[in-house]
Amino acid sequence: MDNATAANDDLDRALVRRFLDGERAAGNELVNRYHRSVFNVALRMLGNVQDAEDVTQTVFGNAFAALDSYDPKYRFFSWIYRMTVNESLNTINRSRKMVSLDGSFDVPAPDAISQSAAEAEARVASALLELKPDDRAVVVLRHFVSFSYEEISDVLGVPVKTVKSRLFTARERLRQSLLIART
Amino acid sequence: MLTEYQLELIHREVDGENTPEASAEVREMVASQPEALTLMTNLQSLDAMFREVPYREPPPGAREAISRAMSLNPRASPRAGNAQGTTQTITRWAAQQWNGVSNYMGELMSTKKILLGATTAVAVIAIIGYAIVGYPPSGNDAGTIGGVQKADRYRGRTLTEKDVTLSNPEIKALFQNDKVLALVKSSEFRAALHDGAFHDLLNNEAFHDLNNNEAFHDIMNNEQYHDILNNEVFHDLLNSDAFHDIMKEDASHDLQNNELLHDLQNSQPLHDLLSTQAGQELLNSEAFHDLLNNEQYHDLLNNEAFHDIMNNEAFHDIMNNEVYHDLLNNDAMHDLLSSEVFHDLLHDASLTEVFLNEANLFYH
Repeated sequence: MDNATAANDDLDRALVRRFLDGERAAGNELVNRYHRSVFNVALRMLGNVQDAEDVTQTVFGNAFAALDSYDPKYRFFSWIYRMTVNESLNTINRSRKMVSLDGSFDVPAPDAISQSAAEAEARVASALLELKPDDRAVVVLRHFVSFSYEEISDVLGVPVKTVKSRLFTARERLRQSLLIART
Repeated sequence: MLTEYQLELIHREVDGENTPEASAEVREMVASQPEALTLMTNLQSLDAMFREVPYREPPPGAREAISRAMSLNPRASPRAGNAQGTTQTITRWAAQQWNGVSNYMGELMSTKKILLGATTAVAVIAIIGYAIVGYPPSGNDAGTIGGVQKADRYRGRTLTEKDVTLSNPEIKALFQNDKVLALVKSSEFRAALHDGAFHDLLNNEAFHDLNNNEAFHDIMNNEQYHDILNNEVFHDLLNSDAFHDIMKEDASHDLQNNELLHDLQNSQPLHDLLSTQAGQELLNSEAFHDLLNNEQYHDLLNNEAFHDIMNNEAFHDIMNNEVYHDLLNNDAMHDLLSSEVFHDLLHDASLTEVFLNEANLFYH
């Protein structure tokens, strides 16, 4: 673990401790640190802004409700991303609409991004939705939050070997759907 | 044909997971094997495609909603500025649900087919618990004690400030009640609190229709109905093992699909249910027999408001509603209702009184 990562982990633990001691601002700081990336992980898992927002709120609700059971010997970010992935998987299981039959991605592009970026996003997102949810989680954590194999293993609670297996399998499918099938 | 080892090396290279020695090996491989070069190029293209995907900003207000709900967490702010208003609003909402719960119970008993709605009643009972800490009924002071409010589309009808009775000292007692706190802290409650089936039901149109229905309000204000709510026999029934077992029976869920409540006696699902061991135990239970012989129960059966709700379309809608059935089939719900803390709560007479007082203030 490099120094920056260790410092981040220490800061997370300190914020949790201060929040549990009654300091509301510490909770807000935790939300600021993770809210955006939790939302993006959920968005890529679900392909739907509204559901991603719901998952984000649920994750933070769960986190704050259970913060006193958080064990500081583990990394906070692993804990919260694990909840994000699990909550996204629960959402997928609860409602088949999350993965539409044609694998379509129903997120309208904001005005700020170019047409080509919007097209790239739609293509990638639709291909992601064709993956099995477990495989999708590995790809999302690797490519959207740049986690290492070890970190993905921590977040998902599976061995590194499983992470690699899922990632390589998923990439082969993505390679077929995004690159080879298009040529 | 690349070996598994070579495939892994290439993937690891793209992910920046290789040692310098392994990276050198990959470079050699790519230079000498066209298949390795193709794979490497493809994976790099894929990686580039992912990098092109923009990071999305969460919808406006989402972060603030989380912070607002989090700030109402008693750990972070034991006595936040608007905590009293929030507590009272939630209590009001809980009172409303409490009446709804018992209304369903009354419906069950009116036809002497407690099995018909056992699951229905129990499901709605759970909403009381959820409402106490989990359902944000108003805009400004919406929040939870143990959880977080959902996104806008999950918000229910809004109670206004005038709905909140600021002077009722029993409200304070409610949230100092150790049974309420025990419930809130229980793992079963938390599991149910965060379960989507709850949110779906609470935001369901049919459920709201029922809450806004005049006949429904009439029955809530009905004296016989209140009597039965406070009746010990009724509480015994709710807490009987047989009653809790019955809700676990699959056949009871089928009953919820029966549109014609008065025809239930002849329905196959009811017969199926009655043939189960849990069904038989409930029918033979002392609590059930006591209830059937209870005077207040008979008064309720003869009450006009009660008949109105029985014939009410909104009531039938919710009984036949898909999200309602999801809730009935939900494991988290079953766990909660079977939990000891929930049973304790149901037996708490002072809590019942608070709910009823609140309900009376609200509806009068």
